[in-house]
Amino acid sequence: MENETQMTQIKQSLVFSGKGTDFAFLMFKNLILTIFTLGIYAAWGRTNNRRYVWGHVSFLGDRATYTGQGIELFKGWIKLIVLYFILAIGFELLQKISILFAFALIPVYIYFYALFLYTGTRYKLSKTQWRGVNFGVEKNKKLTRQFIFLAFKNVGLTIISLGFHLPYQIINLKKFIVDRSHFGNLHFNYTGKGSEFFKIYAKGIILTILTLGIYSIWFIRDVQKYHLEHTKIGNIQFTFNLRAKDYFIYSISSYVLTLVTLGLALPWLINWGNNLFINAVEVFGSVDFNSINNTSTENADAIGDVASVDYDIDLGF
Amino acid sequence: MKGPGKFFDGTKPVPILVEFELQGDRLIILDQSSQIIIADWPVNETIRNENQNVAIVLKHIKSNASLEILSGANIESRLFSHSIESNRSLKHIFILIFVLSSSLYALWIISPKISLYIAKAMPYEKEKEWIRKIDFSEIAKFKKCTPSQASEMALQKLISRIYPLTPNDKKYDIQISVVSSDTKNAFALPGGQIFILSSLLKDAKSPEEIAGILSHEIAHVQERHGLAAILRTGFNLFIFQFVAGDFTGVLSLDPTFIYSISSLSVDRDMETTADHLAFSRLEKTRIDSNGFKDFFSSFEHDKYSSFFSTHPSNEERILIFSKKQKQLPLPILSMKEWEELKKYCH
Repeated sequence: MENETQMTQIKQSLVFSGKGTDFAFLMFKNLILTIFTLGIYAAWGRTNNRRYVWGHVSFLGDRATYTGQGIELFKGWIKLIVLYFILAIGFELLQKISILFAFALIPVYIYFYALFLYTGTRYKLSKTQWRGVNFGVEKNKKLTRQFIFLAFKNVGLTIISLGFHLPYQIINLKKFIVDRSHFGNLHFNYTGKGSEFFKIYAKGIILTILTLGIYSIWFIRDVQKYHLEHTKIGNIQFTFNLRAKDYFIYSISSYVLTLVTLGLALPWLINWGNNLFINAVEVFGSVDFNSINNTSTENADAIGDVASVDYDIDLGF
Repeated sequence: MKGPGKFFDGTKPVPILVEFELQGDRLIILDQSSQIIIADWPVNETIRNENQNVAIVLKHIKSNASLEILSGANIESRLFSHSIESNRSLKHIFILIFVLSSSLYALWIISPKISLYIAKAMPYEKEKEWIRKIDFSEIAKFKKCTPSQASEMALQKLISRIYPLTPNDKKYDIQISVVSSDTKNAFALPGGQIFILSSLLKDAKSPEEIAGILSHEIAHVQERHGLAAILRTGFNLFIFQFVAGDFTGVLSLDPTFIYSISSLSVDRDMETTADHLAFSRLEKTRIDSNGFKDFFSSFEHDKYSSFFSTHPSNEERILIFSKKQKQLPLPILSMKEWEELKKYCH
């Protein structure tokens, strides 16, 4: 590997080199230990899975590294349990005073949705390294407040517009986070537009209904493609070359094999999916690696990550 | 001990091809082309990045720099035996997991005792107040019987033989209802509500059988077994959801849902206690315990009887009710009254 000292032109795909059988052993070990420890090992299990997946994604011959620790997820999990019970008891008591307090759940839900979305993404990115340099999302209270305000505004508009604002909401929230993400001192930039995404979304939903769900394959592919191809890091851009045919075969096979093997094929299917999606990402552009400095710290709270995984709040990172 | 590797200084994403050399407890890293030393780390200041199957990454704790060694360099065991920090943190993690999971296991094992202790400590009035909030829609599916006056009188006569008898009976009041059902069963809810399903009455061979069953259910009420079962089930559900990773599932045990209570099972110890107390009640009021014994015998080959699903074996129970009673038993109902009682739901 050469020492890059000037602008390097890049045109190369990400490479996923994970093996289904290795991943199956890892998942099996995690499952056994999780059952044996009455669920406590789950945090370490999730960390092991991420280390495996991250560690098998390489670019320009160097693999990404996941530096998160199981203990961080475990602490996040404990915090989430405490928070959940405080909220549950609080609402139970408030509803005894007046049933109208039940409506207070909506803003609280939006608040935590936004908070966990932001902090969860921050945790995952801050624990990702490539060539010893961290990814990350800017961290300060003002930004978090701005994001929560943005989420309130967008979710509110989505409710008022009976869902028509949803594509704009997705783009606006994604743009906020992506624009504040970085690799070392190199910033990300998201150029997606709500009006363009609305067309993809509208077409996707209508055709998915008309084709009784079959078009969802193309819909999911198009959404991923749009997000990725409108993301930049400095002068680096991405293309997403996943063929709908391959994704269709994968989806059908996943359903069938999961049913036939009663879920035992899951590790191989996850590995196949990672292979399909990650290898489809091509990176191109120019970069001066020597100008990139590692400015990030790995200091991030895992509660948002735990919540975002448990409640399926994700921006597709 | 030498080998090739790839070095990242932790500040720039620029890989440097290096050679490393292990000298005693120090790891010396040299630039491959210039042979200049670019890092000199005490081995115990390095952490191994786990799960990197392709290569081994040693990270220097203080500088955030890392050395990637290609697999097969044959130096792993020597290097990692020195990786004290890594071993220490692993040891702590295993101790933490062991302590936490052992605590959960211990709680799980003693949960029946704890739940019984808490149930008995709770005032009975509080239990009744709580049970009043229950949604009775599931019970409402059972049709309440409209007996003839003679049937009702026969039932009341039977009940009056076994209840109230002791000072405890005044403290723990009960209500007994007969409902129409094809299932041969009887159950007690927390708060003193006892339900007899009509098939039980129809198939019973003697009033002593019914008196035995009711005495058994009264014992469950007075020993607070129903409440203890709810608490224990809630706790076990919590543990299960914890294992499954969804701690919020514990809230799915809605105590206002009657089915979740009527489907609760009390454990074998509770059943044995209730049997002994039932025998004692029957003996006090001079009711022949053989009636209840015969009842078990009739179920010996009936594996579908839900009444016995969590109970001790019939042999054990027959032994309890075979004990010789101190006084000669007296009949509960006349033949005519018994016939009327059997027709309670007709």
